[in-house]
Amino acid sequence: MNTWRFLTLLTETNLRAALSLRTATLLQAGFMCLNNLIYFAVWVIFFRRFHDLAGFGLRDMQLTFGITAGGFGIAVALCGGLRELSKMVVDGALDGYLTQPKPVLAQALCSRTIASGWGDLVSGLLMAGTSGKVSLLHAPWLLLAILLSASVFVAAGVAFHSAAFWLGPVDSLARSLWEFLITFSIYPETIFGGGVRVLLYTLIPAAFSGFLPARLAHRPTFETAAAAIGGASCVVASALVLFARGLRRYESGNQIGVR
Amino acid sequence: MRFAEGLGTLLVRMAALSVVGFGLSLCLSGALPGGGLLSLICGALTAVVAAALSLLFYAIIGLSAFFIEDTAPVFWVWQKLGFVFGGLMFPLDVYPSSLQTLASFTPFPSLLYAPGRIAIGAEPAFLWHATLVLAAWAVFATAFAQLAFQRARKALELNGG
Repeated sequence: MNTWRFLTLLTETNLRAALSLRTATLLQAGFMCLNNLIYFAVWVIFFRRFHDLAGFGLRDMQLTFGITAGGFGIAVALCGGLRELSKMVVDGALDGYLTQPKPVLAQALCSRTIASGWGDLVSGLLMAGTSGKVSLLHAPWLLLAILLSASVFVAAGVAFHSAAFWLGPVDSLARSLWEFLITFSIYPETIFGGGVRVLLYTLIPAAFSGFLPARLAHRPTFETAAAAIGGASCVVASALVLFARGLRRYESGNQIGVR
Repeated sequence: MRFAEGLGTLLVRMAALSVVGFGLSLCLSGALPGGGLLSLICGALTAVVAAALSLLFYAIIGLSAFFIEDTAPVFWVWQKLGFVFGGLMFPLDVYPSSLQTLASFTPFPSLLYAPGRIAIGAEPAFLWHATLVLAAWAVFATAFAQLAFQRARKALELNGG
């Protein structure tokens, strides 16, 4: 069985497991939609009063917020194991995956789904679709933008959690860095100064999970597409290298388990 | 008992965070709030009462676990409503009047906005109004928590063994 087929089946199994608790899953997804809409209401209030923020209006914010929520939703719905990655490293819980003939990282990431992610995805698509910034003709670009955002969220998360191979228990630090990434992704690039902007293109790659994908969905050009795809690829490649190098330092937890 | 345990943790955290928060605000603004020391003390006292009341609301959210299994989604929505109606991101004064009215029917302005406003020097009428509203919400939350707990005990299914 090839790796993609394996991961598809794993995701299907996770979904079936989540849907076995149908009410809890639907509640989580529904409340997450509501949660995003309430949070966005703050920005509606802000832009009603101040009209724009360094050239960034409510519609731009809605598109960026939608793409970020959608990307984050896909990331946690398909790669729900990401949040526990550093804990798995520290506890030696990767043993079970190392014995399988499939990539360790892919197995660890896809080992579970987080139901609220589906709520993020639905609200993200809804918000981006109704922002008025993306025409029907550009819908494929919107989907590409959301997928790029998702890949950056997963990759950055892997990179943050991989620090556990060197530093030990970094669970809270990794989570905080990931939350920074989410927060910075929805703000307009124009409000950040030089130093912070460099940070957002490198260590906390919010440029590739938020504003560049939003720019791509709104006005797709060759340059924007190259920057968004190239940037996301660099983040993904860096995360893969970091995890692979870290895995060499991994120490078994001597756990006995069956998968 | 769990409430008392939570309250103890809350007070310790609050003390540590207020030192950092107050120090940072002082460094950034370079001056004490205009209302003087008395306003600061009143603000701090209101903040402690408001934090204890928040804890009671969290307990109510926790009790919803008896009916809906996972309470995290309810907590997220509560938290975001706090952002919006508590004036946590923008002061309530910049909101349209309809939203200000809507906010006044929720506990969030008394839990989040009022202590800050009192600390920076609100007029005495605001202080009294905020205290009374906080007391009213405390009575409501206590009664609601007790009712929810009684209902929860009836709904409890024990897995013996």
